[in-house]
Amino acid sequence: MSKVKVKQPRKKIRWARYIPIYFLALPGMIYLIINNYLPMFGIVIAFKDLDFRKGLLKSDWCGFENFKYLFRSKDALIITRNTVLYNVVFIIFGVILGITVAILLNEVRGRLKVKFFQSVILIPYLMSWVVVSYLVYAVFSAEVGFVNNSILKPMGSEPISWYMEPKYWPAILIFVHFWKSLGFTMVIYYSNLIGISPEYYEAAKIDGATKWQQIKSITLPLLKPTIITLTILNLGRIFSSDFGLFYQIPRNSGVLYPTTRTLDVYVYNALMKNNDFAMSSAASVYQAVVGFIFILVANGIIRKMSEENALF
Amino acid sequence: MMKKSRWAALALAGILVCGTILTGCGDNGGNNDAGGQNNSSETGGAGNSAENDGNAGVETPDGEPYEVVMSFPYYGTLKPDLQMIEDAMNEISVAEINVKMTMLPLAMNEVLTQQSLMISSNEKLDLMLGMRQSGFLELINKKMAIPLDELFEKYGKEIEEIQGVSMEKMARIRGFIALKSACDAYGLDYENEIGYEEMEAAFAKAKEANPEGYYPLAIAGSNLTTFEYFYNVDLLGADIACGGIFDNGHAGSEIRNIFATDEYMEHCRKMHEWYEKGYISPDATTRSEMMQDLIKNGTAFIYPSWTELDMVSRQSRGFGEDAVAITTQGKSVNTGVYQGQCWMIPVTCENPDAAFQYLKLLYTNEDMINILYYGIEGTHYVLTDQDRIIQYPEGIDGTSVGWSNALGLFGAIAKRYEMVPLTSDYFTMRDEFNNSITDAEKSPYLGYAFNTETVKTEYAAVTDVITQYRASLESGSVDPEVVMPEFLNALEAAGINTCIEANQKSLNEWIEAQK
Repeated sequence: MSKVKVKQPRKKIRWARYIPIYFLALPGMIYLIINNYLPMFGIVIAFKDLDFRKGLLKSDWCGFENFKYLFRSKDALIITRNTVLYNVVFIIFGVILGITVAILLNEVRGRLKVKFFQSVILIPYLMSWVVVSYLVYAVFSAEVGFVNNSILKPMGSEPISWYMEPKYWPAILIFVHFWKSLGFTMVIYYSNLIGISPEYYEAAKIDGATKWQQIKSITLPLLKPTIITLTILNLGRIFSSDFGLFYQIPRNSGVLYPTTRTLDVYVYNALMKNNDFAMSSAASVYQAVVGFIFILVANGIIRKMSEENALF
Repeated sequence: MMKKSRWAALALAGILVCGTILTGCGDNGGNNDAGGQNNSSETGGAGNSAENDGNAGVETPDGEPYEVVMSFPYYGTLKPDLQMIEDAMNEISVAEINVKMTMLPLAMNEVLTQQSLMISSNEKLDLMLGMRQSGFLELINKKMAIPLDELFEKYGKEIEEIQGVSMEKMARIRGFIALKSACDAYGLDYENEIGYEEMEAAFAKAKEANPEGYYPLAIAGSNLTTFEYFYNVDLLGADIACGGIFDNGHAGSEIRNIFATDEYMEHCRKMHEWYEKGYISPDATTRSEMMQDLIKNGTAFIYPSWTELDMVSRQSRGFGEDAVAITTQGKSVNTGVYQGQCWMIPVTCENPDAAFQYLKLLYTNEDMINILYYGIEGTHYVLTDQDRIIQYPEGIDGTSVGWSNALGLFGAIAKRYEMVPLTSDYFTMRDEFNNSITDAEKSPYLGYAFNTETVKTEYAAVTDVITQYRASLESGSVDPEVVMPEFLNALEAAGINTCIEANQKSLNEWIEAQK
């Protein structure tokens, strides 16, 4: 009892002390509310039989009617599989490749060289998907493509109609994804790496640690919080996909759908003709809810394993 | 059903629609001339009838002109003289009906979304356009437009006189447009209706003459279609996802799954054969060039298109050499003609009466329509010595002119001038063409449009399946023996039969209501 009595006034003092800090955070919080929370109110559209004469709020509720088309397709399973598997591959290899390249870059000495490599790796990230899709098309076009004309032909092989053969596309898409996005992931890890105090490495060197031992025992443990944060955030988007990658790069070739179609592409194709707000918000709500569940689960697992690394 | 028939009635008000240049004149040239010559007396008449309604023009509390905001879809870049056009049109409309107009330029591909967003956020918009087949239905499905029955009753008579009757004569011809020189060289007949065999023979010769990198039939894009250029399929104002009717519905009102027909299978077999023989590019479904550009590049000579009079002359201009129309079937008037481009009044419009009166002016006043189409005489165009044929002024061409209405929308096309190289003969030829249309060439279901809202889940799923298979089948890129069964299964699983049944039911009801 006495403990509680002592605590209460202390809490008040704490609050009072932090008020200026909350005050500082106020503009950011207001921004967050206006930009991220108010639009969430739009979720109701997904459950409405939208009627513009009645207005948004007065439209009739229709339960899960707007969600049905998501599962109507015979390929619903394939679409879900594609979306999730591609994301899993992107998350795992994103971490591995991102860290590898960041460590390699960290080993480069000479400011100019670092800047040069960094820019070279980052440039694809700044390109639009449409431009990239034409680059890929220039490589794989059946008629005038680079592979068919400059590699397969001189070798005497038959040309391949790349855009008609689904089996090649997982490899192509994964390659294109990393070619484009690696620069950005790398920069995040790299900025963490240069923040690690050189003293650790100097001490390790004195003790005779090899490069690999240094990476394993110093770099990776210190990067762990970043890796966990990025992975959890990416898990939240596991049901979403980069529309540019999956729509522009295969040039919406129907034959490739078994391996290239993700949820976003399906939604786009299904609603292209009827432009339905309610059904498209249903798709977003579905993706957001599944993503949210994934974040909770992933965070829960991490909290069990090492509590200090959990996000919340 | 009550609701449905009201929308069908609205589709009739889509008489206000003008889809193609061939929309044509009124009943005959005489009618037209009367409109032109007695312009002043006619508008006087409009004033009188308005007075009879106890309503001269549009009254506003302060007497200021009412402002109508009207969508103006454009293509490419917006021409700079928008304000000049607006001012010139307002001068007429304020004097006539006390309404001034503000044009709201919308890029062609954003029209639907922008209009929907404006309505949902209650922004001022008084006249909007439903464009293309699905555009019109979408706006109605989403309950964004008001029924125009009453307004049409009140003000629409004159529009009907000018435009309405001729709508039923708005025939279109599906076929192909080809380079004349190539047709002559490869022996392709452009005088008579032809079929697969004749084309195949010409393609073989063309391929023989140009073995490398030449694919005579230009088709391109992930949404390409070829079937509809060989067969007359009426989609009943909806999409092929809800089935269609062959032969303009004269063989009965049964709506069929077009993809499951023998004709479709045969067509895909033929396309596959052509694809294998190199008559169609292996990149057909993935390339994004315009089909016309493939011809200009010299890698093809024929592409599927509508082939009415003006289309051919316009293409000749585009190619820089003579083009000809290859026809595979006669002309036909499908239900789709009512849905090409429809004027609509959004539910959010404050004064639908004023909006409709403005619309009427667009259809009855020759000056209004020509300003909107071609700009101001002397600045944007000059008259030629031929009656009602105009051309660009000295030193100005299609790219440098300060105004253009490239999408060719709006108002009474019958009262519109035409550009060179068309000659005055065109008007006569157009009338002849329009008058030559027989009842057999008209769909008996003109005015019907299927409202897909009732089956929206299935419709979305079926649309997706079609996107997946259609282009590759119709471009011959895949073997129909293997893919067709898969396609048909997927369509059924997605619910195409539900869509077709709903369409059939609603058509039967419509037919019943017409009796």
